[in-house]
Amino acid sequence: MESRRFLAGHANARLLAKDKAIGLLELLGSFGELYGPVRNGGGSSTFRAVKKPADIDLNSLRTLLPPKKILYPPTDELLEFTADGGFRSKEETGPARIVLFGLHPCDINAVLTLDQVFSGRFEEPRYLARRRRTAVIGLDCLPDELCFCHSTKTDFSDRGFDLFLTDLGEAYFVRIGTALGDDIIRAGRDIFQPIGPESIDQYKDKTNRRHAAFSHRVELVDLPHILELDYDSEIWESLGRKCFSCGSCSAVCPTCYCYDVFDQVNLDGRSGSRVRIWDSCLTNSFARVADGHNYRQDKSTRIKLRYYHKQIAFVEQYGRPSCVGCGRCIAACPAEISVIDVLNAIFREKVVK
Amino acid sequence: MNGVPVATKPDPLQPNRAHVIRVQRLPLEINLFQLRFEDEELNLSFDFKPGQFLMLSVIGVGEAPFAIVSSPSRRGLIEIAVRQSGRVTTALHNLKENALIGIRGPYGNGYPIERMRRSDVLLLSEGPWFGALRSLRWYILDNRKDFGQVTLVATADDAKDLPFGDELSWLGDREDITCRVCRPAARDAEGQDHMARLIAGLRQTKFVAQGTYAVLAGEPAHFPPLWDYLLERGVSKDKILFSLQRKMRCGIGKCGHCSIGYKYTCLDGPVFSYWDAQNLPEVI
Ligand SMILES: Cc1cc2nc3c(=O)[nH]c(=O)nc-3n(C[C@H](O)[C@H](O)[C@H](O)COP(=O)(O)OP(=O)(O)OC[C@H]3O[C@@H](n4cnc5c(N)ncnc54)[C@H](O)[C@@H]3O)c2cc1C
Ligand code: SF4
Ligand code: SF4
Ligand code: FES
Repeated sequence: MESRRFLAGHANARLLAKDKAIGLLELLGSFGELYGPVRNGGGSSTFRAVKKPADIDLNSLRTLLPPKKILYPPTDELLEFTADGGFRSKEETGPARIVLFGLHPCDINAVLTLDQVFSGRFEEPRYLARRRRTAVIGLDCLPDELCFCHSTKTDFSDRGFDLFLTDLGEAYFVRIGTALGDDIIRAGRDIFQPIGPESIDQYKDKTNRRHAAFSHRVELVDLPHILELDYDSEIWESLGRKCFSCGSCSAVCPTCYCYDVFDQVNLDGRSGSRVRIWDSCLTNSFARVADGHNYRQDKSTRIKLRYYHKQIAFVEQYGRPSCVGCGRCIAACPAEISVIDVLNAIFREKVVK
Repeated sequence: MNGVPVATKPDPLQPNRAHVIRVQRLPLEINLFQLRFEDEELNLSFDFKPGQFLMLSVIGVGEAPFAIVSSPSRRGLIEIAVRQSGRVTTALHNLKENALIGIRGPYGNGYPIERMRRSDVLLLSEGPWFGALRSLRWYILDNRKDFGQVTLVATADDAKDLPFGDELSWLGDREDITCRVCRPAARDAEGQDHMARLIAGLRQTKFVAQGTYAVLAGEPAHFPPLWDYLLERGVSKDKILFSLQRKMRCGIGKCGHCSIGYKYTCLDGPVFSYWDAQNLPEVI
């Protein structure tokens, strides 16, 4: 009796049998344009618009590019201008509704981070419009050797999703995060089942297995202060020597948002648009100004900026670090620079006089 | 989708229509541009603090940040002084009077004029940076009774070769401001002599350090001897102020280009104090 009352009142989770997963994806397609991880050749996967739900890779771990590329595209028109009309803000022109499927907790936390960056005192209306029209369907995962999201405390999502799926083997445990998530469940009444005590046990089990699967621990609590003390550490010089300034780490990072701007003139020579394009603080031109002066000439000051911005500056501005521990920058770096190694070295290394 | 932020304000990147009203040639190939919004209401409501900057767009070319050199105490025309250096500044120099441009802002923290009220103020400038203190100087002179002793020390080979240098001669005639112009040794690339002269000039003025604000304009790398002197005299660390420049693409804390240490120059600056500089790597 006790447990039955509990189950009846506790309606914010459902069970989805694995053979009904395709049914869910089809249902999601009716809620908007569906994006999810699709397998590439070579074992990697990429977030893209999916034509057939079966194309979605339900076991994808780390996509090459993060979901930011859908909410904050690599290039975007900000304004239109004409010679005698001046500038006009460009509205967002994406799909009317977007469903982002398959975001792991690190990526959901990264989207929440971008929400902070693009709202507040100066709002980015295009990002916010796209974001308002986007449903987020989370999916759990088991970490590999590049994941350290439990150190960054972004290995769990308590908000930022409409539905969140946890793989229990035979079925998915589906948490309902929002009213929209509940609408999806209602629309798919026949594919979901109520959860029972055994599914709660399995869910706990999975959570424990996942915690135990992390192979790295990165110390982050005292990090801002230690980084400040290590401002002149030799580490930055040696990383500067290794780094190719390719900017890949910024492109693949789900929370990097720096951009450059240029004005593009149409063939008529009288009209055009102002375009934003992803930029990277690692590139030589990032802080170069007119007359050729460069505030960040040395590669070491640029790579240092990447760490200091994520671990200190972002905390000052928004209250938490911006690295969510997804490991993408480690996978992407041609110089084999690893954020895990760098942060651990910062803690372990003694100051050399 | 609960809790997703909603856009409630106009696009902060959208420039307002404005016109170049007058262009005046100043020394050192700097042009003074007088600007005016098309919307009369905007001209009246455009409120800013000395030390703030705006983002100016030349249509079809691009956008760049410029300090406002006019004073909020004189509404109507906004003035900027621009040195030709790259794409936008060259296109700006080529614009005819009445040309349509875009302006958004004002941005940045500006000088803390509320806090500075009733205090003595030192205005210290190195050579061509004299113009950088123009907005603050005019603001103080237009609200003269709100401030204590005002002392201006500038270095210059010849005042008339500086942008706004002509203002130095009539400033010298005013009773309510102490004004010293010091000539540095020729060819002083490191600025050592500029700083030495500023310090010597300051010594002659017998200023009171207690509670005084010292506002510095110059090449930041040259500042340390002047900082040391001011600190020895007892000017407090949070009252030694200066403005910094960095590359800027947005002016509103989104593009990331203007970072200094742990701060964005466009949001937390461009005005910083000596105390900020002590707690912030990369200032000089
Ligand atoms: C807060 C602040 C106040 C400034 N005030 C003045 C002023 O009063 N008078 C003046 O002549 N100059 C001022 N500058 C410098 C001025 O912004 C640059 O000269 C201008 O950006 C050069 O643009 P450009 O397109 O001609 O050069 P390009 O080299 O073609 O630059 C392309 C873009 O890079 C950025 N950029 C390049 N150089 C600089 C720079 N030095 N600082 C910031 N961004 C840069 C701009 O966004 C610029 O549009 C100020 C800069 C800052 C940050
Ligand atoms: S810094 Fe690297 S590990 Fe951290 S969020 Fe960005 S890509 Fe992921
Ligand atoms: S990916 Fe590696 S090599 Fe490329 S800019 Fe980043 S740190 Fe440097
Ligand atoms: S100018 Fe873009 S962040 Fe400061």
